[in-house]
Amino acid sequence: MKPETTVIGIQPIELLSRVSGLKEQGCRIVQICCSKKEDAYEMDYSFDNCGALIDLKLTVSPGDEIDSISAIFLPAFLYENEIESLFGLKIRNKAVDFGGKLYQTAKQTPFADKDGENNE
Amino acid sequence: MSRRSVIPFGPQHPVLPEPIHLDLVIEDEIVVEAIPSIGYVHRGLEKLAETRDYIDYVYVAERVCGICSFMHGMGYSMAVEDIMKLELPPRAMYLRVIWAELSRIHSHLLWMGLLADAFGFENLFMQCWRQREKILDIFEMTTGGRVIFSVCKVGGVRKDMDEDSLKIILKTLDEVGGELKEIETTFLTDKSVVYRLKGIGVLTADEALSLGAVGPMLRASGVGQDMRLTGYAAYGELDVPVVTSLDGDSFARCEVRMKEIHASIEIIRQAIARIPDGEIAVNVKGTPNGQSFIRLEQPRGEAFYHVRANGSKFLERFRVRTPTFANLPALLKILEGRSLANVPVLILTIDPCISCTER
Repeated sequence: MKPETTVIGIQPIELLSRVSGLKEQGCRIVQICCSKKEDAYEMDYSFDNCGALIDLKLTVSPGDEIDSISAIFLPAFLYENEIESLFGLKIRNKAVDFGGKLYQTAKQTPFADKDGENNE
Repeated sequence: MSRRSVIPFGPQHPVLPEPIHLDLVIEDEIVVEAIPSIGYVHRGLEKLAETRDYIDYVYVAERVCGICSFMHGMGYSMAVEDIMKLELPPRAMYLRVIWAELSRIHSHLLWMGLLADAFGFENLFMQCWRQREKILDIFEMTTGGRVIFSVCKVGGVRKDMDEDSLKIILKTLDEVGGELKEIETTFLTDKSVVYRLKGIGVLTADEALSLGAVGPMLRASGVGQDMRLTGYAAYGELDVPVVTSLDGDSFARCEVRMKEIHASIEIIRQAIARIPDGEIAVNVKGTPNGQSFIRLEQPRGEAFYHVRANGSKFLERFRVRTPTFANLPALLKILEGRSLANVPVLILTIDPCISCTER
């Protein structure tokens, strides 16, 4: 048995309005995940709605910035700072900004390279 | 006029077994703001999934944490099994439930001991850990390990439990349940304990939800969310009591965890009574291709696993969001307005696991 999961593909420009809609529905933020996919970043914003999982999926081109959702869901600031620290993806207007230094890693943005390349 | 100052708390502090740092902005010894810093021991285990065989990676996944190691292995395995559409034998599902609930009991007993130690009640600390030792003995008897057991694998479990082992588990749980009642009396009625916990660090239900809190932190604020109710593994065939409290304070968080131990004992009794005979694993052939989102209820709350695979033996992405990471914003909230002397106990009431957070 697996709880209902809905994955919705969106454009970066729709992010804030979609997330605001989920806030109005009473959803709880579950997590934000960034993945490197080919030459772009894939973002998953996951929310819980009474046990059902709603996942907003969007693709961000290298060099592009995206909006923070921490003004809508405050806990998002931790996930966003984590992503900036590990992937180097720029997220603007975070509620708390660690300047890409949430994690004290030996290598800058260690998750930005695929398959462990340049991880020496 | 009050004077504002910033006090660094951690990363090394007697109450912290693992490193986390807080900048506490205080006015007259009252915390007005707390800013966290983590990442002192970040291990990059998620990245390792890109260069390890997906079957072998379960050994890495269960090393995300030493307390809930079994459940991390289970969450990872469930995500891969979901992608590969593997049907697990019912006995494997029940065995997973038994080990998962034993892990919850051992984690909560560990936490109760640490809390007692934090407010200076060393005898109570020892009593809690004495009970925990019995659970670790069960792990050793059934798996050979006391911390990392390596019994969960993609496709099922590696070891079975015979009838004698199941009888010993039931007998041990009777003992632990009985002795826990005496410990509970001290936790819930002793004047010095109540004084340190009652009314301290209140988190309302609305705050808990809006701050993304999970697990006992959320349930102690009156929100009955528990991922076991979704019925993963064999939970769908068992009666899962969800423990909540309405007070939202440190005392409520303590009370919820104590009652959850009894609930876990009850779940294990049901599982042992109903466990079917049969195989404990299926053969796994091929490689995963697709993605999966899995949520399960760890001792500290909902853990989230995201696996994306491309048909090769290496995963494209393994992501785990641990309960402590989700509870950090709620921690910052309950620190506000409390005296500096309450900070160590308040940090402990979220049951922080920095090892998980620094996966």
